[in-house]
Amino acid sequence: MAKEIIVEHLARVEGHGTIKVLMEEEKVKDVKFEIYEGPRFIEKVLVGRMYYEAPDIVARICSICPDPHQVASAIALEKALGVTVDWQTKMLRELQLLADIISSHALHLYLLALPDYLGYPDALSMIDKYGREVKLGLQLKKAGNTVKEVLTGRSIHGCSVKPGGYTKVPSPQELEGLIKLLEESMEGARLAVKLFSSIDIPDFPREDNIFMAVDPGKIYGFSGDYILVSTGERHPVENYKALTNEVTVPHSTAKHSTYKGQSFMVGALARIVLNKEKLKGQALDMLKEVESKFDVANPLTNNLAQAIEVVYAVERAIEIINELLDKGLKQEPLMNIKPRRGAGVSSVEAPRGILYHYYELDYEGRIVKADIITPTAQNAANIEKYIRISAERLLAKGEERLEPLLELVPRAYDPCISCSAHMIKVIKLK
Amino acid sequence: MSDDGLGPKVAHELIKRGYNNVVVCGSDLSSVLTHLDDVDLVIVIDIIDWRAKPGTLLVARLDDIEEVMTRSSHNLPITGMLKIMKRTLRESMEIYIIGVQPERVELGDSLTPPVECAVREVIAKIEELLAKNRRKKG
Repeated sequence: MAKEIIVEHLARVEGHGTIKVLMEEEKVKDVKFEIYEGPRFIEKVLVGRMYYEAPDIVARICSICPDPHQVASAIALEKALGVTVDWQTKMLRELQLLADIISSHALHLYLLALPDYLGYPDALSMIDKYGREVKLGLQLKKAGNTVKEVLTGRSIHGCSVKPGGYTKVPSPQELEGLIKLLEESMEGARLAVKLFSSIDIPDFPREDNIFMAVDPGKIYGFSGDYILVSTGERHPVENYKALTNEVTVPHSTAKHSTYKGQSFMVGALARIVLNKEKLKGQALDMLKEVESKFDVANPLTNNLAQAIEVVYAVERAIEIINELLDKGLKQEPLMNIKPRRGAGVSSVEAPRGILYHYYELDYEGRIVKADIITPTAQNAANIEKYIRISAERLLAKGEERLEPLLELVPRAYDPCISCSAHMIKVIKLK
Repeated sequence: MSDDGLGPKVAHELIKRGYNNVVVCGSDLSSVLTHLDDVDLVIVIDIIDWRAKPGTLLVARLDDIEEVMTRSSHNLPITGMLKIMKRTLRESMEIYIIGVQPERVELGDSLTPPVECAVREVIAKIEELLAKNRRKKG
C-alpha cells in the first residue's frame, strides 16, 4: 500500500518548498524536494543589456544574497572585457562578501535554525528564555547590513557595484565607523559557535558526502578561479559546466546538479572541509575547540560550520578595514573600460555555496548570453539524497512523526529557493 | 511579480513626496534593522491575502495581532519578524501593518488595476498614522 509523507510548506527557509516522501510497503520508494517558486528569467532579461547594467539586474535575483550575485557578475564581465581591477577594489569586494556572510548566516542561525535545536517552533517563542541570544543575533545581522550599506548604498540591492570597481568608494571615516560595530558583534558570532556546538545533533542523516568549494588561495575567503572537490581534484572555474551537469527535473523549478553521477554539497561545511587549513584567528581556535562536534558526514553540521564562518568573517572584515585605512583609501573613479567581444566566468562563494556567473558579450559590450548557477540549485539533489537517507533510517527505527525531523535536513543547507528557480513549464493550449 | 510590487511602488511615491526614512526590504524584513535607531513608529506595507476583494486595505496595529501561522514569501512571516524586533530592540516602538489584498502575484511587470488604485489610499493612511504620531508626541 502506498503512503505519502508530506511537509507541504517548508518553514523557516527563504522561498517556497515542499518535501514529499513516497512509501510503498513501508519502504521509501521516492523522495522529492519540490520547489515551485516562480523563475525570475534574469538570464534572459540580461540578454541585450549593456555589461554595466548586469550587477544591478542580477542583484534582483534575491534580497538575502544580492551581494555575491553583484560581485560574481562584475568579476565575470571583467574577464570577458579583459580588465583587471586593482588591489583596493578586490579588498572592497571581499569585504562586501564577508558582510553578506555575516548578515545571512546570522539570520539563518539565530532565527531560522536555532529554534529547532532548543525545542521551539520559532524564534518568537524563544524570546522569553533566549531574548539575549536573539538580540545578539540581530545585532550581528545589523552589523553585516551596515557594512553593506556603507559599501554599496543599501543593505539590499546595493547600487555601486559595477565591472571595473565601485561608482562610489566609501570614505575613511565611514569605514572607520564600522570597526566598533563589528567588534561589538563578535559576541553574537562567538555565541553562535557555543550554542551550536553545545547541541547534540541527530545522527540519522549521517553518510559520507562529496563537497565542492572555491579555492580562495592562501587564506580563507569567498572568491577564486579554481574549484576544489573533496575527491582531491582542483578544476579551473572554466570547467563549471562539467562540475555541475545541470538537468531539469519535473517536480521542481530548480535544476539539479551532479558530478560524476553523484550529488554533492556546497556551502559553509564544504568550505571548511576543503579550506580549514586556511582559517586563522578566533575562528581557527574555535574550530579546534569544537572539533569533536564537527561531524563532516552529517549535513546538519552545516549550521556549526556557518557559526565558525561568522566568527571568521567578523574578524577578517575588521582586518580588511584596517588594511585599507593603513594603506590609504583612494577615492578612485570607475575604471575606463573599452567594450569588446568576449566571454568570462566567475566563481564566488555565496553564503549557501558556490555561485557561478558566465557571460558572453558582443563587440559593443552588449550581453548576448548569460548563465547563472546558484548554490541551492547545486545542493537540491544532495538535499533529496539526505532526506531519503533520513526517512529510511527514521522509519527503520519506528519513528512515527517524521515531518519535523525531515525538515531539519533542507533547513541545515540554508537554501535560498528564490535564487534556485530557473525552469518554467510551458503548456500549449490548442 | 505583479501585485507583489506594491511595497516598492508605495516606497517610490513616498520618496517623491519627500519622506526620507523609507526602506524597501524585499523578502528580508530584517534589513530594516539599520534604520530603527530612535524610531518610535514603523509602518510596514505589503500585500496580504486574506481572501478579501482585491485592492481592499487591512490596517492593523502589531500589538493587536495574535500570532498565527502564516505562509509567507519572506523567510519569516512579517508579523513574527516584527514582534521579534520589537521585543528585543524597543518595546515602545509602535508598529502598524498596512496590507492590501492582491489580485495576482504571478510573474508580471505591473500592479493590477485594483491594487494600483489602492496605492493612493495606502499613502493617505500612512500620512494619517504619521500625523497621529506627531500629535501624540506633542
